[in-house]
Amino acid sequence: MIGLRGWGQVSATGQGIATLVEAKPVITPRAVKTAFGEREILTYTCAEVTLPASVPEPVARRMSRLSKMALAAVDEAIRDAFPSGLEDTSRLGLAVGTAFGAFDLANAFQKRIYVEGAIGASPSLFAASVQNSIASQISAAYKIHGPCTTVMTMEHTALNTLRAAYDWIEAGAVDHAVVVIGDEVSDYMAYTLAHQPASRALNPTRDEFTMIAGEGAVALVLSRANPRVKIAELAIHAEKPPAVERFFTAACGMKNQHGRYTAWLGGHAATSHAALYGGLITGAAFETLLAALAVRDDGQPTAVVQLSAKVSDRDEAQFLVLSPP
Amino acid sequence: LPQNSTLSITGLGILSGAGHGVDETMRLFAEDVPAPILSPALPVIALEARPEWRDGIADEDPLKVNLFALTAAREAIAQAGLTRDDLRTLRVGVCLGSTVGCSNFQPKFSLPYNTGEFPDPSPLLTHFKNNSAQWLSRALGLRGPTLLVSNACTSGADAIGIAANWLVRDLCDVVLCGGAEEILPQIYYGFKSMMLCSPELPRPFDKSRSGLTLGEGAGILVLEKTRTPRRPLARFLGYGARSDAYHPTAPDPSGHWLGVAVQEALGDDDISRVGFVNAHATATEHNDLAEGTWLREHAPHTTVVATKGYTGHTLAAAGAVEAVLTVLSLREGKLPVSRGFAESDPRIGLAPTTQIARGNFQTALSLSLGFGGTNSVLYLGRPS
Repeated sequence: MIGLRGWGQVSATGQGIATLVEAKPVITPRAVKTAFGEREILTYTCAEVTLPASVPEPVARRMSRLSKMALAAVDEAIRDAFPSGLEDTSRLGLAVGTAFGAFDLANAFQKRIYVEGAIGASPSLFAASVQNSIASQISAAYKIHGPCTTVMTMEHTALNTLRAAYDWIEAGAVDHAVVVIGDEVSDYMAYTLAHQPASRALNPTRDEFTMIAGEGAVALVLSRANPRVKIAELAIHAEKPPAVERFFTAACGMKNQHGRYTAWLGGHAATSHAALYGGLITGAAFETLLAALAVRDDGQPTAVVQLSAKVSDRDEAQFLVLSPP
Repeated sequence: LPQNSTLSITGLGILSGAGHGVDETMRLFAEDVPAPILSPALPVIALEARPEWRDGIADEDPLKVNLFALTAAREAIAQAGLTRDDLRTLRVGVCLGSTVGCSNFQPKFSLPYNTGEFPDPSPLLTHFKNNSAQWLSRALGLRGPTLLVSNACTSGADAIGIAANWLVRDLCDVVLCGGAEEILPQIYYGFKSMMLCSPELPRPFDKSRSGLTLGEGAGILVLEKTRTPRRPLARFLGYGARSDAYHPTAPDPSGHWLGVAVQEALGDDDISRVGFVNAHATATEHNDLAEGTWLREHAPHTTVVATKGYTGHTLAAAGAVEAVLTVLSLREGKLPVSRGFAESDPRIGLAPTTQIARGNFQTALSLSLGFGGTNSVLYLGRPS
């Protein structure tokens, strides 16, 4: 049996699981310059995170905001899962999932080239903007020597990342795996959203455009040893919903999204908690964390469902079922 | 990770500086291989997307990297003999490695955005539909899981390893796996800023090597369980992946975790019994020193081949392009000349092939090392 042994998070509610439970997200206005003048959008915003003291300041300075959020979440999850400390890190894997990566930092690297020409290319920005730099920084911080992978499959990122880590344990390649999934609200994203219909109070169960972008990272420790919640099923290509009664979905207020979830679930209630953490393409990671907390507390098996973004006429579905160990 | 599993490679597709397609790539096994041509704009082995590659796709403005993936995938599908019915009825997964295929570095939006203009954000919105793995699955009308892995230079090998896991766990029936890469100018400038680029074609393991030469390309394999009726071209024998946790851009000079990944891929087999090793061999100072030294110490009698002198370093596609070349070498019983190598670096003490090498190779390793300290190894063999 493989399950979740520890967890951590950073979101607009703050740093740490306790802040998520407290459920007071910070939603801030953000002014964005557009061709039509300055427009204001709302975003769920993460405050500056506190990194573990073991991360040297020069290293922290070169990290992207997303890397910092991911590292802070991982630190909480590792301390939660291994209160006596990590032992054999050659048997520990790391899977990072992100839809967009460290967008702002990657753009900072590009911008200098566009403005200054080839001479503007910065080696340190380039190294930090490589998509697997988050995995690299976390693996170096905790000396993780098992497989380290970075998954970027847009809306299917979260459950694909969990599946990759799950398979490492199944195959006996590692004993435990740290999974961290997240994204940041980049300047690019804010610019794009400023050109969309006006955001309003986020309601993930309404089929109108109410999306307010969120950011953050969720870290989960997968293990066969002492899991607090069992991974009962993990389907990265699903033809039909699992046989459970409670469904958490990654619906985040995009147009026609909630209706698609309820249709795919055959009329079951499609609960989403995006109002807590914001509209995130990797929102299934937050739903997984919330499902784990719910299963731990009430023992009711819970599915997390992810449908594909509406870029074709197909509904590609994925789901994860968590249950008591 | 999968070892000695009963998985077969039944189709191959390749685009690289070594040739467009398997047939053209076979010229590597002849003595008079033409040297790849560097682009006049940048010292990169670039590929032109041909108009016919767009045939049959609805996307009016596809990314070049996605056309590379599609073209190589179509070749692999044809070679495997997968019919339209197969593609419709089987659970066909897509697992790809790419850098550009999951980023938004396309200048169409980012150039005006970063130079004070206020461009229409629609090119950015197309990022949602351009993820290479998802795009390829939709373009081919497939029904199965899709995943894109972006582990820098080991991505292609990792995608094949993940795909093997999918089959072992019965998540799908067939997987199109491998990698595709496009070299945008800013990627070249990034490597150049780190002083890793050669102004000429690369000289892997050579005493006077001067850095890597970036290249565009794609390598796609059809991977499936051996029980299918399709004729296997090669066997997938194992995959190993370990992390140095050492430095963001340089490998652990001891090669220790590369060695652990090699042994993980080999399972109970011994490296001394492996037919040949297709080395990562980027021709950079650090890679060749770490990888070459490890090979000299741990596989002193094993034939080593380095192929980036033909393809350039195709980054996230490299592991897949080299997996295709490894399968072709196993089937031909020949290894190409390691183009660019002339004189061994005494600090490494390794000499890859300098002439066409013939042998009854039964098995081979394909090594990949990447930024972030990733080490990924594929273990492949001739069909039983």
